[in-house]
Amino acid sequence: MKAKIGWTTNRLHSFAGITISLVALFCIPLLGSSYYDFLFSLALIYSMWALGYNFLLGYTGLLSFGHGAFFGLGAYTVAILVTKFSFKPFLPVIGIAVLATAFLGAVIGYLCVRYTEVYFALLTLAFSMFFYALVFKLYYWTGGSDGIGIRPPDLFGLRFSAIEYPAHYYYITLAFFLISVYIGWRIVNSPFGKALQAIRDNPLKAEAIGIPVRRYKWYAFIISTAYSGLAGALYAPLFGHVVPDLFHFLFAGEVLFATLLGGYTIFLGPIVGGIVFTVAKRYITAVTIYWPLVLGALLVAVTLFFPQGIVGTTYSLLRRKIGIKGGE
Amino acid sequence: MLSGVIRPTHGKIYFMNKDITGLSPHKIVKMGVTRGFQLLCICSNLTTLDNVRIAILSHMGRIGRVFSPIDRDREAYEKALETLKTFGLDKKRNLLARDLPHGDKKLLDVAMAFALEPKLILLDEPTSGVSTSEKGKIMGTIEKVIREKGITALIVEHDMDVVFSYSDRILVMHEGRLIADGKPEEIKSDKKIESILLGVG
Repeated sequence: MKAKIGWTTNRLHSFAGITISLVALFCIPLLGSSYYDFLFSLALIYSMWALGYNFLLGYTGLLSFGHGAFFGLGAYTVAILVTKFSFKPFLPVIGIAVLATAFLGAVIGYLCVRYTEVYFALLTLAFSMFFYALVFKLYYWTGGSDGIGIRPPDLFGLRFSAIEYPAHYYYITLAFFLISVYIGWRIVNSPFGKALQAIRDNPLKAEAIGIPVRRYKWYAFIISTAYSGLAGALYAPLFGHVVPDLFHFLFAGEVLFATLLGGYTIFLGPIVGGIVFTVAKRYITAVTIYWPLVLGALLVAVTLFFPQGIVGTTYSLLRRKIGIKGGE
Repeated sequence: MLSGVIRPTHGKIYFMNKDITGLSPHKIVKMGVTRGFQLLCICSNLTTLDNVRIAILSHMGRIGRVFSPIDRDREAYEKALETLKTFGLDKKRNLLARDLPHGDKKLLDVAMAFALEPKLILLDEPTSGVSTSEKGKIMGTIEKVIREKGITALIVEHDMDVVFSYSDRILVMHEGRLIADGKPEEIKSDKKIESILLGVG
């Protein structure tokens, strides 16, 4: 009986939390600052990227240094479609970018999931640097080190631009964000999602109860690259310019850090981590040129003292104080 | 080797007249051979319920469902609960597996193998690392379940009390070779085996 009451309050708290966050997210453009619209569009993009990344890191237990490349693939697909092919309808452009990224993710993932731990991590790093070099060299398609400047794509026949109408672009990003979170939530709570967690905890046991471990790791890889592709695809029109640095493993490090910052052991972790990381980066860069130093110090602090990240630590504290039950 | 983790270098493995040599572990599970582990092998960050439930969903062929919430599958939930009850773990279903006492962890390991409704179950020292007082409880539960369901169990064990109390047939191996095959009473009365077991010349 008591447990049931606890569960109900738990539900209530979650519901209240979700409602407040949704209202807050919807209200950002009402602040009337185009800078906030831009900043939070970027924050949501990082959130989606980290959410997808955590399918590998948190749920399957695989560390990838190559998810910058998939972000870059999404961004460059949009850029090339819009500039080289003058193919501008917004939703199909994003759709093609996601599919193209997931396809390449499937090919690369197929090779990478045969290896575990450090070998897996190094392979993803190697592939991302391969793409980095390729983007530099294919000057006709990618503009080499100059990158590609993008004219805005169309949405429902309307020409819209992240620069002219940042609030509109923010709401479009928010829509994609909400859909991504919903799909992500459904996946992690499905039998497949639990199977991934079983693989993370104990691959030998997972195999022993009949789960095809390697194939499921591959699926998780594809899902996470699709998310990276979506994040990259939304990033390109927001910035209006894409550069090869997106493919670099240093950029992939940002998604790893955002995920750790928010907490990889919990569903909400990378979502919050993505937002906090983006906002923190903007403001700390404005104050000091030593952003990498601050970043490094933060990373050390999180890893040593708060391995569960912001959300995980908050949950543990709340659970101890008022008995809220945290879940994955 | 029987469960497919290690490939044999030569020779063949047959199960119910089918060659299963070199099949991958998850395919051998589908043939009806499952295993428990000597060292604890459970998914420690999942709840007790989810540990058993994923085994059941895997057996039902529903583990690949990507978009339907696991909690909405009542059938899998009921089955998991039933399995947990059989092993006396149902009251601890919402605990994370890592928070279970050691004896319960062993039972959970075996419960996951049983949840796959095997024809043959391979158990490697199911009571290793468990206190003498708990051994009886664990073996009693296992014996009850396999006799009820008519499952064959192949148990590797060197605790002679456990071996003689629960076996129908005993195979004795020494230095990699089979040296005896018989009923518990026959093995017990065999002086040659006794001397090997006790390490006398």
